[in-house]
Amino acid sequence: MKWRRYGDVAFALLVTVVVTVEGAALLLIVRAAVVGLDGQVDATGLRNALVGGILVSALGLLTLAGFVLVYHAMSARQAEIRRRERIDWTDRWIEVLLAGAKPPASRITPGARDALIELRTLLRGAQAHRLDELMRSYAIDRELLAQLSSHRLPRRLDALESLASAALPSTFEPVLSLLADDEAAIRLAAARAAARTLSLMAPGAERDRAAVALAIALERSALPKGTVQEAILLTNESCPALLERILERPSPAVLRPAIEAIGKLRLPAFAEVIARFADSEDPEIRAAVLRAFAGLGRLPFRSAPALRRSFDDPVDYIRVQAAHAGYLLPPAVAIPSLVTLLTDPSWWARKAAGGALLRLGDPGVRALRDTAAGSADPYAREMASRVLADAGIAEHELTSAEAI
Amino acid sequence: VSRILVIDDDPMVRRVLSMLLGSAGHSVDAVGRVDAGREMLATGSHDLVLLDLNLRDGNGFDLLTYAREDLRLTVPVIIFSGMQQEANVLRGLGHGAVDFVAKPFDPQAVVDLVARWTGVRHASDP
Repeated sequence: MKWRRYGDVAFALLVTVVVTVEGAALLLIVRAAVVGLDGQVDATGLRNALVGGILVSALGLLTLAGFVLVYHAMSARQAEIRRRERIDWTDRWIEVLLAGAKPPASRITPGARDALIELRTLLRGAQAHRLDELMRSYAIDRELLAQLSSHRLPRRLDALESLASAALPSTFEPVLSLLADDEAAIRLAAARAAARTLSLMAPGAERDRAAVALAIALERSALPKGTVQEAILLTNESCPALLERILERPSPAVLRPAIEAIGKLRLPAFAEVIARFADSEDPEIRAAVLRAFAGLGRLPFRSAPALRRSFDDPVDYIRVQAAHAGYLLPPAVAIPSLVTLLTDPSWWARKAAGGALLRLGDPGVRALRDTAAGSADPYAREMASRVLADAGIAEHELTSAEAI
Repeated sequence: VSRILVIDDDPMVRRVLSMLLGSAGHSVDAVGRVDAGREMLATGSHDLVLLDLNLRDGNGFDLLTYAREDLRLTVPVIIFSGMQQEANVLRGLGHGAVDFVAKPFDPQAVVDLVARWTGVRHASDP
């Protein structure tokens, strides 16, 4: 409901007026009381001042309450009108696309524009290109870019949201420049819009150049790492140039999000490249690399020693990630380390080790059974029993957990 | 004329698919809620189901399981899924879906896919 983003200025003005009037009324009451104590105002005058002050306060509160109620009633009605207009225009645009109906010749309404953009988010292929042509013919890109220069934050955010949905290549560079905006919310919305636009660009040199530009802009944007990761994920696997640029010139602002994204997007082509960072001094980077290996389901040959070292890392969340990725090692190497990790002080490391043993199949299950039955460490017995029970492999072993 | 059931919580998707498949000569029922989907499935009168996996009030897998295990329907089900949801797609195929369409979708590809599966169905009918 875009309409409800607005009205803040009117409400702030109204509150200012009401508070000012109530303040003035309070001053009058105080003045009347002080003068009354000196005997210069009789009881009737005092009572009138008091009643007048209370009435003004009540009126002020009623005005505020009335504004809020009317605002909500109006915005609900406005939203409904917009919804109907959007549905109507959606049908008309679909007819233009599928039935060859003639598109409107003149300037289109905001509802028609929204429907066109929303439809664009659903479709790809030839019909999506046709929608792009329509958007260009109505100068929607220019209209939205002009809206970006508004001094109102909601209008700028609305424009960026629409630009993200429209994903028109002609808007990429102006949107990218907003990653240096002073307003964090604008930088966030611009990162999303630029990433989405990039993800829908046709493969080729232009897209690769845009990917490099986005990588540089993200490095300089001072956005939180989670937001950077979201932007990288939004570009999808269709944009390796972005990840290549980040990994070639790693910067602390974007390296970890890029490694995480590689694991989430499952891009095995990058496994060897991220292996370079397996011994990073930054534990967050080391953990991200291990998480990515686990996500990819692939461990580069030269990273096996780093993974084995990580089983003994002093940082507990590194050991957790190492345990998760442990199943990627040959069973003969992985099982002794994972069984040792079942005695780890961290519950999460023990749990991850149990899960990894399970993923190793029969030899791992045997190691879990042996641990559950005969480990000297009660916590290892408990975790091994729990993992087996959760997997439905053994029901009775939980009794050893009760011994703790 | 094949009868197609569309189950998707996005009204825009329902509209586009209804008009798209309608213009291709099919009869389309489109619903956006899980309970409405269950009711429609229970009629057993559709030749093909297009099912979104991420419904607002439930899960497409549950509907797929309901169709296959409770109702014992053999109607072909094509799942709709967002990008980066390979795991969901594989799970859907494992639950008895016959194919999948990634969103955003190419309208012509959907028409072709529907023609293929309704054609297969008709060809195998007695």
